[in-house]
Amino acid sequence: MFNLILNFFLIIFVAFGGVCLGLFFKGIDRILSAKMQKRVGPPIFQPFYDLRKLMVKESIIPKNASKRIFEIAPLISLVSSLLILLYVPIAGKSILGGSGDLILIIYLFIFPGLGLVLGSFSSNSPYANIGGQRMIINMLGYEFPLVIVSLVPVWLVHSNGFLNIFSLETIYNNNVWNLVGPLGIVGLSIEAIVVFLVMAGELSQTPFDIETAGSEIAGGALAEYSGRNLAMFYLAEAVKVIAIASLFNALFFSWNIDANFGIQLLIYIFKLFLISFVGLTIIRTTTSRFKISRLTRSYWGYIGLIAIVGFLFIL
Amino acid sequence: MEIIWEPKILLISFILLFVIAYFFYISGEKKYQKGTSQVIAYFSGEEPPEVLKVKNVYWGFFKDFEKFYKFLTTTQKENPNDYTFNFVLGFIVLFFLICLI
Repeated sequence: MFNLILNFFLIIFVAFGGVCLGLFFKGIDRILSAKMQKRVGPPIFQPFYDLRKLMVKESIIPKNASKRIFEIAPLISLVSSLLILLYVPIAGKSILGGSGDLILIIYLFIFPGLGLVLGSFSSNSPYANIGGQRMIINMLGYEFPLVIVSLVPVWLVHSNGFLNIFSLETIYNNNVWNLVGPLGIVGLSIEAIVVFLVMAGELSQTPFDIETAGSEIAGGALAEYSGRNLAMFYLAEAVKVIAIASLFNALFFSWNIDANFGIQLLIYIFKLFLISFVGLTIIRTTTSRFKISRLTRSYWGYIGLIAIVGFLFIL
Repeated sequence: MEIIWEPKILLISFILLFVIAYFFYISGEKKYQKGTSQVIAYFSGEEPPEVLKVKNVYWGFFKDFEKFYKFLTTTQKENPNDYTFNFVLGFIVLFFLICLI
């Protein structure tokens, strides 16, 4: 009973913490991106102000839109992003780690994108429709390299004789960089590059932001969203940064020191910041958008091939 | 620690998070001006279609692999034997690949 109540409060705490940290990282990302472009940039708490503004604005539902789906899709996106946070290790410990593994997490990563697709198709808008189509292409693309990079740590813990190879805690507690030789380090470095590219795709950031392309399709999938509905997608995006950075932290960057949980939590947050800085800020600031007809080829061809080559080095 | 997938825990957590998110959601402004031009979907000043049907969902995907699909369609002439041949061929290639690994 006590465990149940504890888990209940932990889930609320992680959800609240994930949202706040995600918005805070969003603020840092915007400032750093502005500095790279020699701009001043917004205040660090701008995402919180944006959220407050969205919550008091009118939530317009377009004519002929499927009202129920239009309203529930942003919630599905947010809730599934939060759900992933419960399964990934946070400073080495995950709340629901014992009841789901890496495969489940890869499945769960489909749902935030699926929420966006549902919402865009239900809004009865030509631009949103195109955005939804593009989101499906994007999802089809990044899943392939994502699965390959996720299998690398699994393969390594398996070949070193560990049990529960799909458990993220097993992978986290056995740093993959200590399980390989010099060639393996080359392979893991290649996989780390792929990780950052997949992260940019998963977060629909430039150069993979084809579904929301502001200058082409006026916000695409989100074209008709406003007010509290848009706020939910805004939060989902912020939480997804934390979720995916936590996953890659557990898979590839699980360095830690022997210390109490508080210090480990600080190190974890710092590592998340570094991962999001490379995978989100640097990539989105220094690149421009791919053509839609080049996206899948980039993922399945070039990025997928690089991931396979990295895997071969590890074998 | 052995991991067993627990759909019940997944579902309960989902519901719990959904309730929390929903309470936050309903605290936002829900009103808007129904029946005004506000509710017309944005279409760069043009009149948007009354009802929009979703089609060509995989357009970018097919466009990207155009050459591959062209090649595939040349090998299949709406004859079931072609499909069976391709299936057996694919199976043999995969079998050897898996055996090699």
